Amino acid sequence: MKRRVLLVDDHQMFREALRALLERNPMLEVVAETGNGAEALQLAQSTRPDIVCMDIGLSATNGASNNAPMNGVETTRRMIAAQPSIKVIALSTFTEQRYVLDMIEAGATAYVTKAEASEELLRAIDAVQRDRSYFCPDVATLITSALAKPDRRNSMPPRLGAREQQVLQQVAQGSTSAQIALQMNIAAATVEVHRRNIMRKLDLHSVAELTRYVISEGLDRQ
Amino acid sequence: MTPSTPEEEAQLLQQAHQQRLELALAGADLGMWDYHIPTDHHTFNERWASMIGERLDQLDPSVRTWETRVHPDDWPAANAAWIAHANGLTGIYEVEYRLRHKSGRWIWVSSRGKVLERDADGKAVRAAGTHLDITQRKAAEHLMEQRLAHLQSRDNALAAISQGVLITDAAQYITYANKGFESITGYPLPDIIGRKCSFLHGPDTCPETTARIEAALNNGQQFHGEILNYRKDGKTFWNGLSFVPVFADGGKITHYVGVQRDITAQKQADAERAEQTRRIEAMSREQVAAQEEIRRRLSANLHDRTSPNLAAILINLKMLSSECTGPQAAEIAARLEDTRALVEDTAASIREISSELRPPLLDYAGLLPAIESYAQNFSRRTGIEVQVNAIHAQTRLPAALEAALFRIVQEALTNCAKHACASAIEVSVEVSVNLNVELSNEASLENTAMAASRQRIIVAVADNGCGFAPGAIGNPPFTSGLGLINMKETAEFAGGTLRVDAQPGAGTRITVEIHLDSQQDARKAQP
Repeated sequence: MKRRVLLVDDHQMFREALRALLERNPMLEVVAETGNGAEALQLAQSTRPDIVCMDIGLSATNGASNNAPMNGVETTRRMIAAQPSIKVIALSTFTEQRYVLDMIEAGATAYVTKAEASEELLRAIDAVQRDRSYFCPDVATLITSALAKPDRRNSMPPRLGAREQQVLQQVAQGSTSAQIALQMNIAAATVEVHRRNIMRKLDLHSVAELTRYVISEGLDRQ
Repeated sequence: MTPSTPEEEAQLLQQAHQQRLELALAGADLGMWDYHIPTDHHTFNERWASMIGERLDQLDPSVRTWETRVHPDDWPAANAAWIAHANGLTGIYEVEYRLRHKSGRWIWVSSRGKVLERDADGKAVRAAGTHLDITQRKAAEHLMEQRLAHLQSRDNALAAISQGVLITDAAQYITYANKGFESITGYPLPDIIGRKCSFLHGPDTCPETTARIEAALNNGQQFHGEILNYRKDGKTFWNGLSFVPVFADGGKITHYVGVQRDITAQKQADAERAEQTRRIEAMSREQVAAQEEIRRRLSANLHDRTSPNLAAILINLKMLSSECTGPQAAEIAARLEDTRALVEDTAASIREISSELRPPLLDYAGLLPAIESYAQNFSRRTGIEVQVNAIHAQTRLPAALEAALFRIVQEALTNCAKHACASAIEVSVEVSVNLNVELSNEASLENTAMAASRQRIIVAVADNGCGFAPGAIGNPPFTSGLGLINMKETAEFAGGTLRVDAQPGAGTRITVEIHLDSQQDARKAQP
């Protein structure tokens, strides 16, 4: 049986991308989409979705409407109160703890950042179907770091893309960005971009930390 | 002795008269002189001699005895008085002069006399008179003159100064006022003598000030202050008033001396300056608020318009790469992943820029969550441990204030990382509400809660770093104390104060304190 999905996001381009992504999966059916909190509540009633992908910042571009704008948190709270069986997956550009906690408190069972939406959203949908909660790596890192302060690193293995792993490998072996660029047949600036992404994903903040990580992981000896 | 002849009888009578005269003179402490002009025979009595420290038998019975002892400065007057009387121009010879005492000092005498006998031509033949030692009186007179001159000059000085000077007696009735008082108040001296100063008060005079003056007078204390007074023409002026009680030796108050200045113009200038400062501050606040609003909008627009697009692009790229087939698939997939990396980096940059402009969390959840989130990121970035403590900090504050406080904390943390060599930082946010509400009869509880409550907000950032010497800000190596100055200004624009406590080796503590009177702007924490 197909899972029914409702998309709530005030950004149409993003909704379309999401819809395309989800409809490639034969087990999923996007039954409706909206950018408005109040409408989302009505659609939840009329279309009976199993899963709702909910943006947090709904009110942001709704702007100064006369009615009090309802953000994703409030929409989720009301939706769950009316239909407790619905699984809400929070989708947000924000990774701050407060947003995550607010969404969980409102009744969301998963939290995925939009930057990681493609694969992570599918993992989240998979998880919530099995009655489990799910947090994408960025958010999971955040939550665990809040729980266990010291030495919280590596509590969650970071997910690096294939190219990023390639670049990290080369960095570990002492190659410069120019050498890596030549080797991979890409611009040096692109290598820099990969390096920045790697450091962000690994929560590293200097070249020294990156070097330390490479050594501690034994990447320099591979 | 019995008189036998009329001559003898006359002589006896003369002697008796002489004796009576001597007694009288002695009683009056008078010296006596008798001058027979044609023979230049000049006689004196004992007291005349003793006045100048001589014995009578040592005095030459000549007018020279007198002449040579008169002070040269007094001689012309003494001589002129004598000539005038001798010539019959005056009925009595009367003059005061100094005589040289045997010891060399000068004594003052009052000399009085009369021509007793004249010849047929009317020329003086014999004259007699008295000397009275008036040295003490003269000294007293001199002292008095000196005092008078002194007083006069003081009076002139008091009259000349533009301040009003008042003197009252112990019961606070006016006994003296100078010209300055008249020109300030319009009241001439005769109008005010015997009155109390309170006639200067009027309907708009601050009762609190008059009470303070009253208290000072009652307690015999000084007073310095400003009071709104009324001129004779009814116009008001600001009086910069000082008065002091004057005590007699026994500690009793004898007078009050008051000085007053017309400080109306000065007060006006002060008020204008204050108004100007207030306006500039208001403008600065508006500017800061406007800037903050621009940042907020820029941040929101930048974030809201681009981030979802980038997220959509990422999803599309992912789908494309999984659909790649054919001989070029690996190459295309690699390219797509590079592109995805670019988009991801761009999204991260936008998040960073937007957060730097104004953290969305600040508007979404308020000061404390924004600080906590910033502190967490700061910790991860710098390795400095940051602990955030909060007391009642869930209350939402006016948006501008939240922004200002957040900026200060941000700046303080940045400073810690740059200069303090700290390993731990403690940020505390404390909001305390004092409800001092006056209940009106029909006021409901809800109204009360809405009414005058006063919030005190204290935000402190303390580190365990190297600290610095007071006054080192602005000097090398603290030339980048600009951060501190910015923080101070931000705090002041927000209507608060910023204090820096720092000692070399003992860390730095920055404390911002803000009192919020009206709670109208304060929003409840969003659910």
